[in-house]
Amino acid sequence: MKSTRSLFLASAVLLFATGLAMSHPVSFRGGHQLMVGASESMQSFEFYRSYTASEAYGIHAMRFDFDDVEDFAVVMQHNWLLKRWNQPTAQANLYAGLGGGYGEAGDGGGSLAGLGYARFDYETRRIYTALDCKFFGSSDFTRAVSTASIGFAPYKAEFDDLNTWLILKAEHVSESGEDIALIPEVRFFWKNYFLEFGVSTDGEFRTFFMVHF
Amino acid sequence: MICLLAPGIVSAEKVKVEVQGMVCSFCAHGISAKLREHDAVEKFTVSLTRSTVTIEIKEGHSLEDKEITAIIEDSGFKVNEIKRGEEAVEAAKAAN
Repeated sequence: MKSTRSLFLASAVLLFATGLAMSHPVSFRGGHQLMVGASESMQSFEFYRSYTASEAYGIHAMRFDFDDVEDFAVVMQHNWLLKRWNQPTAQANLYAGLGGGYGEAGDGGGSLAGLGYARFDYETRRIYTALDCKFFGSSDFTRAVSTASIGFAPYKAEFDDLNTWLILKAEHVSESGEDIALIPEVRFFWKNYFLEFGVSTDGEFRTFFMVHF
Repeated sequence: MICLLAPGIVSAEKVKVEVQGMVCSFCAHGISAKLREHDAVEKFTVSLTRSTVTIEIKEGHSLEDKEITAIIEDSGFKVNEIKRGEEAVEAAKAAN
């Protein structure tokens, strides 16, 4: 109980320190994860295979479109579950990822690109917190997407039930010329399907879909 | 003894597994995916409320604790306790 409280406090502290929805970089041994996210200014595609319960590899592509400047990167990525805290009524995870591939900047330049990523999350059946930080860099552009999320479930769903979560996300994208966006979201998952919708405070609609198989 | 050997009367073995960290059904999908494809598993239920996985093993098959632990751990969770027999049957009844 004490360690659960400590984890929650650590999560709350980190929530104010940093922050894209990359919910499951690693799933179960032999599992596959497909994730697709889209908004007017950002689109992402990720596909990973977890070859252990703590390691996965795959492909990650992302497109940015801010102020009519388009950047694109596609990398081969490896993800690690660095640490998982399994508690009787909670779970917390620390993930990291590294990738390398190709990037294309808005002015047409193409070059090698790299990705670095970290995530911490803590959840119970009623409370969810997460911090994500994703960095794409090439010789022509850099983009860092930082996200902090906090949410709650209005009811405790059982294993076969539809799960519903209300999430508030704060997101910052470097080089976008925009401030931190606040995004209220509603999240549903049922069996191995996950769907999330949100609208930022400046009116941008976004959606995120994930499936495990 | 004769009754126990009669087809349809012998009850399959039930196993109740207490699992730590199982707070999200989407995250626990790995457990159901692995149990569903296992030859020895007749049926199973996952309860987030009780943090348990109850497994009914097919007649003539066995599923050792070591294998159950591997399934749970490969899905990213931790086994707290594995109970078999009457204790597990009672737990399964209570869960229904």
